[in-house]
Amino acid sequence: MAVGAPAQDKSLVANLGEIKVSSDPEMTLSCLGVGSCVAVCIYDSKAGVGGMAHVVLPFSDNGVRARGNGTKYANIAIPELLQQMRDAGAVRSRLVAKISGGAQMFKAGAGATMETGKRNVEAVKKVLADEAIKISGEDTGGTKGRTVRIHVGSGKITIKTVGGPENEL
Amino acid sequence: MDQEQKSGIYEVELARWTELVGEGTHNAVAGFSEMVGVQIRITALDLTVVPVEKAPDMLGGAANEVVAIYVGIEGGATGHILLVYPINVALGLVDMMMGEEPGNTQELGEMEESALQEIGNVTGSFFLNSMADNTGIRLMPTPPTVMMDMAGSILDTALAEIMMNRDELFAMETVFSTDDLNITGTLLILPTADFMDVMIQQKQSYARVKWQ
Repeated sequence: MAVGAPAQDKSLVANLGEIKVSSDPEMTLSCLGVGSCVAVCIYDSKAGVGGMAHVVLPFSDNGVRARGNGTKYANIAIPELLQQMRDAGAVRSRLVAKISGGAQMFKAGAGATMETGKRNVEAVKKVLADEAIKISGEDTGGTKGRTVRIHVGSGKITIKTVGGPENEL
Repeated sequence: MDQEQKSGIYEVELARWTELVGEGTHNAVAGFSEMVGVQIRITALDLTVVPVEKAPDMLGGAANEVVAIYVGIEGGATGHILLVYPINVALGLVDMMMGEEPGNTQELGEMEESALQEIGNVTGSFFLNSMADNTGIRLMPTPPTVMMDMAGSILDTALAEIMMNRDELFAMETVFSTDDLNITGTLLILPTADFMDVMIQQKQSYARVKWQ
């Protein structure tokens, strides 16, 4: 239990399909235990605004209105994250993204054949490219879950796997 | 009324589902118990309906480190079976399976994973055989995957498939243990929407249970 517990007093967790944005330099935003999902971290270093989206699925089907919470989809979550960051004072041309997750957790079954992790990573990259947001760091794929954090004050992004050290992305 | 309508599934159908999965779960735990040669009791068996983002809380939170054995359900309907243990319990199970002294197994290598896969095979097959016997639908387990990882990452692939249709999760959550508490764990059955539809369409007798 201890590993994922907030390391600092000020922290916000983006659960499945959620978006968190902050301009508080003492704040840490986290996605805990990301498997096939993708944590999309975006930062504006000048404005000191950080944001994170916990993407679960690639695209909502063919423009049909998303079922339920739209921000579980990459193509809805990322534009929404950009909007919330603008609202918090970020400037689009300064935004830089780092992405992490997209593991293949299951070796067999629908979870494996659907390649959810791989498709999530591809979708996130496509949407970021369409939005003209540069990806400056990536740690994706593999078969292990990750906990991803962005420290809003510094823009530093860390990734932790079970039994592994916490690495900076 | 509101709860049932939100989920699109009615009380009678839910009762039918609960009965089916409950019986399958008892069968699965009996199979597991027989395999490790120790009496294992079901201490809680609940059909729960939770928003998907709260699902990792069933396993101690998204960051909680556990050992999980995943078996997918294929055939006439699809879904997910997860057997989840605290890490020390999983290592103890390997000791039992391999005839080692308790405490000998310290990590999960290939041999240890294969012992746990066997537990997944037996538990999954016992569960699905019961479901198939009661519905006439052919259901097959996939080969098991053993993971030592965070609860969130163990669940999210299965949740992603469910979230293509809805943002709430129907789960049969079973907590089991031995009397001495040396073995404790959680069995989660996560049906897809399609799985529940297929099962409840079967014309079988049902018992009315109270909606939780």
